[in-house]
Amino acid sequence: MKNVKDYLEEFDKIALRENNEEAIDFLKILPKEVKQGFRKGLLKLDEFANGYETVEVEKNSFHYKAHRTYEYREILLLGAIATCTAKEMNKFQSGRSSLFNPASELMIAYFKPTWLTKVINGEIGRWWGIRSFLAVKRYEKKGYINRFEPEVRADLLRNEPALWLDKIQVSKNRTRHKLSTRYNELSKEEFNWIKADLFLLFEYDLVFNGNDGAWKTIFKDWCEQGKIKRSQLITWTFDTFHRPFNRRTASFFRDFLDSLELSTDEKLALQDRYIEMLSNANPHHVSYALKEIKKLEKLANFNNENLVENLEPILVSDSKGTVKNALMLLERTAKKKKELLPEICTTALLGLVSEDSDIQKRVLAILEKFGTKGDETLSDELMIYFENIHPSLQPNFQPFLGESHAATNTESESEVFQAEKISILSTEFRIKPIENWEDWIYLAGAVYENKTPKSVEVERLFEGAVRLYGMPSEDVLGRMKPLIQRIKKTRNNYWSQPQTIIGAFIKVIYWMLETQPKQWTLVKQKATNQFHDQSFRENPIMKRLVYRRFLMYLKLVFKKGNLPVLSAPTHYHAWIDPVIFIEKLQQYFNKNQTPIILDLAHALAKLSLKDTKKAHEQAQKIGGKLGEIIQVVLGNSEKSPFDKSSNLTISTQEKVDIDWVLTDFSDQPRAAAILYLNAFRTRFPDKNMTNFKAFDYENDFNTAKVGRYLWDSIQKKEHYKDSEGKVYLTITRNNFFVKTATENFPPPEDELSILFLYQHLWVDKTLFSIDTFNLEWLISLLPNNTETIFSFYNQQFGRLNSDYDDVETNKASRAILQTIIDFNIPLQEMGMLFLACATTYADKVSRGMATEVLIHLLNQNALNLPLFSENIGKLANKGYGRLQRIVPCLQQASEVSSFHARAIQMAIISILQEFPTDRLPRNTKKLLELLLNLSLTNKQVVDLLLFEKQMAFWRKNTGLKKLLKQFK
Amino acid sequence: MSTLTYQYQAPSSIKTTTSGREMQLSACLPSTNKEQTQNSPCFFWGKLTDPFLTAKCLLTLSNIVAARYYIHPNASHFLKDPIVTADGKQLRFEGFSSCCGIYGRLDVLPNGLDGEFLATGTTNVDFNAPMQSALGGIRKSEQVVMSVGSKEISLQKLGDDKVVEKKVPLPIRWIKGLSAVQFYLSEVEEKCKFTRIQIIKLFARIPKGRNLKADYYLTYKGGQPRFSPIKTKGAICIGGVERLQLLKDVSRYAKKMSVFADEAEQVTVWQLEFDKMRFTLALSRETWRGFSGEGKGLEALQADIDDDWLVKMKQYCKVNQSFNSTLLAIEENMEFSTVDQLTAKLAAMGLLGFDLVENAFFYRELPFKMDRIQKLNPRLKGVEKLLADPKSIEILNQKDGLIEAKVKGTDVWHRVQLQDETARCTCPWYSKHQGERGYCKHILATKKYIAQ
Repeated sequence: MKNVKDYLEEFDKIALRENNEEAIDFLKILPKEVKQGFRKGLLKLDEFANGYETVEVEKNSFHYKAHRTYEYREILLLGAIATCTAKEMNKFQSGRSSLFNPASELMIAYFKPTWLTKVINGEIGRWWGIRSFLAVKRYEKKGYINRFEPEVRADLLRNEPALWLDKIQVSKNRTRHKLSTRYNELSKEEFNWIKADLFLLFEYDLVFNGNDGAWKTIFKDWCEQGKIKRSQLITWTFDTFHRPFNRRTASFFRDFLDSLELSTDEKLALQDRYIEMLSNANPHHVSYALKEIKKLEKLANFNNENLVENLEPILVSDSKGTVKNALMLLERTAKKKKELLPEICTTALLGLVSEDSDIQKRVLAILEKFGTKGDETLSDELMIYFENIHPSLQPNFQPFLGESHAATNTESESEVFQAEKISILSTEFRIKPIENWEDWIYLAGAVYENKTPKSVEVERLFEGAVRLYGMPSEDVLGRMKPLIQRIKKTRNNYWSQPQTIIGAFIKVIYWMLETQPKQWTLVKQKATNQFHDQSFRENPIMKRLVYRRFLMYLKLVFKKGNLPVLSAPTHYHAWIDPVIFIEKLQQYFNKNQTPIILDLAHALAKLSLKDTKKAHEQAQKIGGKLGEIIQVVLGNSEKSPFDKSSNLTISTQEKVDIDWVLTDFSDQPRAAAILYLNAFRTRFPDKNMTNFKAFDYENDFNTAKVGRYLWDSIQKKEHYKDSEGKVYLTITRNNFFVKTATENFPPPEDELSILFLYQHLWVDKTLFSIDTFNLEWLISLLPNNTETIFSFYNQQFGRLNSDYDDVETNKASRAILQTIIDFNIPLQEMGMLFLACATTYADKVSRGMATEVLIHLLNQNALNLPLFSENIGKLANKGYGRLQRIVPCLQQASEVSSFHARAIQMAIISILQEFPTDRLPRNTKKLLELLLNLSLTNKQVVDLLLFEKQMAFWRKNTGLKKLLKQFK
Repeated sequence: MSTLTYQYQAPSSIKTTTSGREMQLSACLPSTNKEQTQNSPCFFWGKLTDPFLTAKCLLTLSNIVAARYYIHPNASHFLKDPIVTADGKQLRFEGFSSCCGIYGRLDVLPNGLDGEFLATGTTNVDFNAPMQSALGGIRKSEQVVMSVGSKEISLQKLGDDKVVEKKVPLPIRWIKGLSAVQFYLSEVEEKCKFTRIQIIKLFARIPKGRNLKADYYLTYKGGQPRFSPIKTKGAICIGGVERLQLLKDVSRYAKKMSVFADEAEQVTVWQLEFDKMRFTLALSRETWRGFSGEGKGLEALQADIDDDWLVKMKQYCKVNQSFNSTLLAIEENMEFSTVDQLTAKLAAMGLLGFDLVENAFFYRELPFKMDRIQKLNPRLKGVEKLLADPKSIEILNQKDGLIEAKVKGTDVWHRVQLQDETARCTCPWYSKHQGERGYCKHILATKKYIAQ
């Protein structure tokens, strides 16, 4: 009686004849028992199709993972049909899935050859990748491959599993079984088919599934069974070192090699392979090879000649340890092979690329021991690196330079650095206003299409409309039409707030140009309709602010350009030139008009106070309360008009009309209070305004408390260090936020309440869930000082902690640092604390940016060095500032010029003075080494008496003791 | 997306012999036709005078080709095989990253080769995983013989089972990028040069981590080049600076490095110089921006040039292999603009590459069907569509060098303004990119309309 195997073989023959009808006839004439099996199988598969996860065929259980693609089920069906009645079924189960049993493969190959391509491409059955690869191999060996169309055949015949597996790799998040679990089930025949590709498959399996100890056992077993030669396995493993695996996989192969327990003889025979690893791109491989070479080098049969020339790549390595090891090997070789001395000395010079003085000293030691003074090749080569040699060591290298080089060296002069302050109001940063409607339309298009338009462009657009509205050009409406049509077609949504606002503004301007409305109420109505509520549904207060500013601009547009926009920035980074501000104010007075209060408050907050002399002269003419406020902001008065007797209140209940008389505040005390507050905060962003404390602010007493960034907050948080495994450092504006702001201040409608909120925009997170909003634009609407920027990003991205995982914190700190540079914001008390903290952050980008800010401030001689250093010292003292992070920042800053080097030397001295007297912060030695290097470079002796308190403890440490001696 | 099938006689390999190593780079067979494969040429056969560095550079190139910093929704597969051009004097290996944002080229100079050029031309070379391992294993002072294509090809018995086939879905954008990058190369200017120490220090300071979103700037501080996240005067803007890590390994051996950039800050080119070879790496403006999407060459591509001119120019390039466009214009008494248009068109067709050091174009015919790429360019297709409808473009104004036109958009009429060298449009593409990524179809169509 025929068994299933016989049937299959017969079917195979028919299939090879590629006769479809014959094959179908064959299936029809199958014996009864097989047909019964078919029926059962079909019934079960029908259940499966309805969502069953388990298919039972006769007495054998098949557990399928439910995969609800039609093709897959059909393949299973074919597989089940071919195998379900077989008594010897187990023999044909080359896997638990019928997808890859020989029978189903045969059926698929015959009926649905393209499906196999799908399998290979990972579209179906992707987790059985290795099986599909085996199937291809079987097809190739059995000659079925010729049945496929040339294209399919080419696909199947990709001999490089890497290419095929790479494709699968692209599909992320696809769960795949570990291939290693299937290898043990390979038959001898199968094993031979894929033997050559085995290791490659293994490599890629690791890439997908991570380190797998099972592999070690499998390969070792195969070695012991004689399936794979040990030498072959070692060669394969070495080959992997030159392929670009990720760090984890790469480390697995090193471990794998270790697990093979190579004997010393084997290692010696492989010395060339270890040496070739020295030029590897993976530093861990290099360290591994170095470690082995250090052991082998001591043996007699080691080829040192080969080693010297291959040490070149690692002498310029980033890792100091690697360079030191390479130099050590050179030194040992020099002792053994005298004939290689010139080559060794020249090679050792590469170590001078490192800035580490210790490494440079080792190079010097090699030269002094084995080098020849007057050797021209050595001298020429040394000249290349001479500039990089530490100044204190240069005299020691001088004898190897030769006379001609020595003469040229002494002639070189270092460039003298001069600090230069960047003027915020220089003509270079002046914003060019829009001159005609043509430009306005193109700018409007650009701003509208850009999801994150630059604040300058937005303001230019708005301000341009104010000036140009009174003088429309010919066919301006026709030109605007494409843009208007586009805006109308765009669906406004929550995710495009800037686009919605800008689109609304453009539409209202178009409408105004078209209809020339005579009444402000009509314009207001139109504006309100266009201002899409949806985009601010989660942000009602934000909406009010932006809406008011929107209206403010339209109001000025309505006045046909007769009145200027006070708060339109005159210079990049949203600064306003005080002279231009006063000139604009004069225009208001000349026309007997009243500025819009929001416009005025905003302008006050953005004034640049770098040079206010001229503006102050012009402002003398302005009288009344406004005059007093301007005197405050321009720096000619610190007098606060507020005391209890002034009877000014800041109640939010008061409603005022937009066009109120400004010059006399008698009837608008709250507006005056807010404007004063604005002026004070612009002038003293970090100051605690005690004068305001006496004033009754009702709910807003804390408004007066500005800039108290106490170390209390840091000290309070210290306990986290032990309890949560993280060190949190929170810089908070102490008591400076109004609790439950939304409760106290429900979304206000009136102008003054908006203005009030403008002062407190950052007070509560609920006010600022504006992920999608254009941050740069919003920042430009806020006062230009660190405190505001700080608070803004704190609320935007989360509290500013220097914890070590929080991505949001990284975002906040990067954004703040970038804004400090972009907006050229002067740093005061809080800024200095933040900068110090940023040099300690785990995020490298933040630290890099903090270094840049440090250099930027030093360039302008604008760094409060004592305060900055004191902060870093305190951070290190409290265990927050890791010196490992701080030192590279300081070093990089010191490299810029001798001026910077001197400044950093002073900074380090101040930092060290803050150090604890009873313990040693980790890496103190690094900081002291930097100080020593700087003192040598700057030729400025460090007075160790400055560290008298700490010295007693430092001297107990042997390493530091030696270092401290060098200061003398 | 089209599908490219590579066919190689055998996998590339490096064999160790008694006299050294033999590196056999399998060249892609010109056709699947059996008869033609027998005539597959051997481009070069000879010794490498600096095999260690050549191997390092080739490895770097293969890493570039395999690199992917941005996954385009339609590109889930990638190529691994670089392209090699043999021009009779030197070998140029070129590759393009899968994300289409990085271009790499290794020029092995004449003094880097000691052998015979048996043919000129361009082909793919097989770069497989064992080959990568073998390249990494080449040590200093080793003797390596290299052949590009097989010298003994006619002696080998060819059969289906001997041919190595690789079938790779080939996105059009990949080829478009490969040809588009040449425009940028021809326009960049050298901004700075670095010594060996500076190179090593600079590369040690490349910001780590993938997908750093912020731009970085290459700037000098204290006489040393640095990457800074902060823009300063004269700094070179680099988007996706982490991509430079690809050069780090090979940068250790470079004698000099030049950095080139264009005025619009759309591309940076990093050229490492070795004694016997040069390695060039071009980075697109952002990691997500492939060179393929840049419309730099579109204007030249749609310029009306007589086919005879093109044929002659192609012939000239083929004969001379390399030429300087300015010198060519002077020598042949041609208009500079005509030469520019011709070179641009040929480059866009994948027939020219650009050598920054020689400041010259070199001839190389990409082994892909290039004619389709032009036709498939969506913006050029749009232009053809606009020009086909006579009512879709209306000239409104034409005086004092200012041309204003109304061009039909989707349900909208756009305004196009052309004045001197500048052009602007009210369409979303122009509004978004302000011409940085090439002109929109409306401007291109207006220009062509006027020219006609």
